[in-house]
Amino acid sequence: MSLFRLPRPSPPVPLARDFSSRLIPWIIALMVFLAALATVTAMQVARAVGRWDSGLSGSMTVQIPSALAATPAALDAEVKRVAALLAAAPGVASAEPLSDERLSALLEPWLGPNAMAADLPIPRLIDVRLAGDGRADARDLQRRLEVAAPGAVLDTHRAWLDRLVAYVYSLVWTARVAVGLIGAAAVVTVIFATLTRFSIHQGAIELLHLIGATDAYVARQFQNQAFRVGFLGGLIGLAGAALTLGLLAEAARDLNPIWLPSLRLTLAEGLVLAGLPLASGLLAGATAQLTIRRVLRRMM
Amino acid sequence: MSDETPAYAVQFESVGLRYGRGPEILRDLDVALAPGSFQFVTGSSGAGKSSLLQLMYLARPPSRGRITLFGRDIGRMRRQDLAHFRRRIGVVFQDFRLLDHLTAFENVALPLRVAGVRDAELRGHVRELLDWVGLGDAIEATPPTLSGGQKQRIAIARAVINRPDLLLADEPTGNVDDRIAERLLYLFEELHRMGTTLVIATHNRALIEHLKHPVLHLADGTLTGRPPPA
Repeated sequence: MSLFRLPRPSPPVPLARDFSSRLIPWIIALMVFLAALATVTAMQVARAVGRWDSGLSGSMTVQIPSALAATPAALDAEVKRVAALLAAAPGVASAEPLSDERLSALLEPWLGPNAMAADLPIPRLIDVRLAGDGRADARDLQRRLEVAAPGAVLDTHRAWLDRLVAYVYSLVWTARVAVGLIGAAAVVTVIFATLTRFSIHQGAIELLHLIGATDAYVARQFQNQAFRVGFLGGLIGLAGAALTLGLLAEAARDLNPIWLPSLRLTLAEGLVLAGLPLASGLLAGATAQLTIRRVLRRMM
Repeated sequence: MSDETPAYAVQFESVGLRYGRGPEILRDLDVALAPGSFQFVTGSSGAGKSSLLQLMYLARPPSRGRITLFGRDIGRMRRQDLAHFRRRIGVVFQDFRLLDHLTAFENVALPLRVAGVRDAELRGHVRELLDWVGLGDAIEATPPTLSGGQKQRIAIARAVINRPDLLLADEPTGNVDDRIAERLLYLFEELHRMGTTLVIATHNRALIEHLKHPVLHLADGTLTGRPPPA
């Protein structure tokens, strides 16, 4: 048994008792919540764009206008001839004419179920699948097509896809900028909280300074408390974001959204999200440390 | 710390102090205190005694002149070195400056904790010192529950826990009764015998006459040898 009972060690600056220590975690929680949603949005949309890009990069469509042949039978023969020619071209894995059933299914939303039976000048389509990296020489194919079937049109989807990808990436960058601005707002909040705490505890800080505390020692008191507050706020915000995303994923399940971004996270994406509380804690701690060191430099 | 003993523990050369752009409240101070000396500083209220001590415990830089402590020109010291140098200086503040949320033990231990001493090492030392100032039974008491004299003694214990080379006390008997004042004087004499340089700022003429140590008198911001007769 010790000679006397050692009093429980207390921090020299009672930062945890401040009102700001109770308020700031909720502000950080709100910011982490927004940052998590923006991060997930950015990650999922970027992943979906990648999927669309790779899905469409490996294919092209060739349109054979109905005017290229006098009769439907002649048109069928022409389509088969062009398809065989394309299939033999370098970089092409396959070239298959779309059947009447598939064409009919594609046109049904606009022209009704009997579009193919009607006397309409509907072009025939050839679905061209590319080999390897899906980057066949479109100009070469276009030249071959012009020679074999003047008037046929090669659609690489590239222009449309490029515009779509550019637009969606602008959305992704908007989300990233939003995360950056949320981080900046968190930094400003922690700076104000740190300066307020400094004002409240100025007497204790001056005393520590005068009995030989280094700036690092004093700053560490603020840094550790800010880290705890930032980490706690991050956990609350992440929990809220996880709940929200879970509810959204549940709601999206019934829609079977092929073109919508999936809300299922990869391991790497999950780790990024799980790291948000640590990131908010480190950001708050580093901000408090730098802020307090700057203030302390005004002392002798 | 250098092994070589400097000629002076405290040396002021043409030192002046002003706050902001105001008038000089201390001017042309020339002071030289030998290591291990005991010096009183007296003067009327507002004469600048506390400001003089603030210069000595490195709370603020002089507006002009040079201050040398233990052979080191403080104007040439790096900020980081100043922090370590302050650990050689113990201060008993007029208003004690105890931290109300800390116990007597933690207040006294604070300079050691700041210096990075581990709890296991400082326990016995703090306990011993609290016994020395007669507060061994109040280690868990917080300042708001203590009397003025008890707070004063905790402040003294905190000031000497690091075994400072220089002890500065600002009106150490101003808030205590005669019995406690006598006990404090005994403590200061004991520290003096141990080789600590002491500078005590006080109004207490009885204290000055009882201990018979040299006196610096401050009047109108400058130093004179002896206070005017009562």
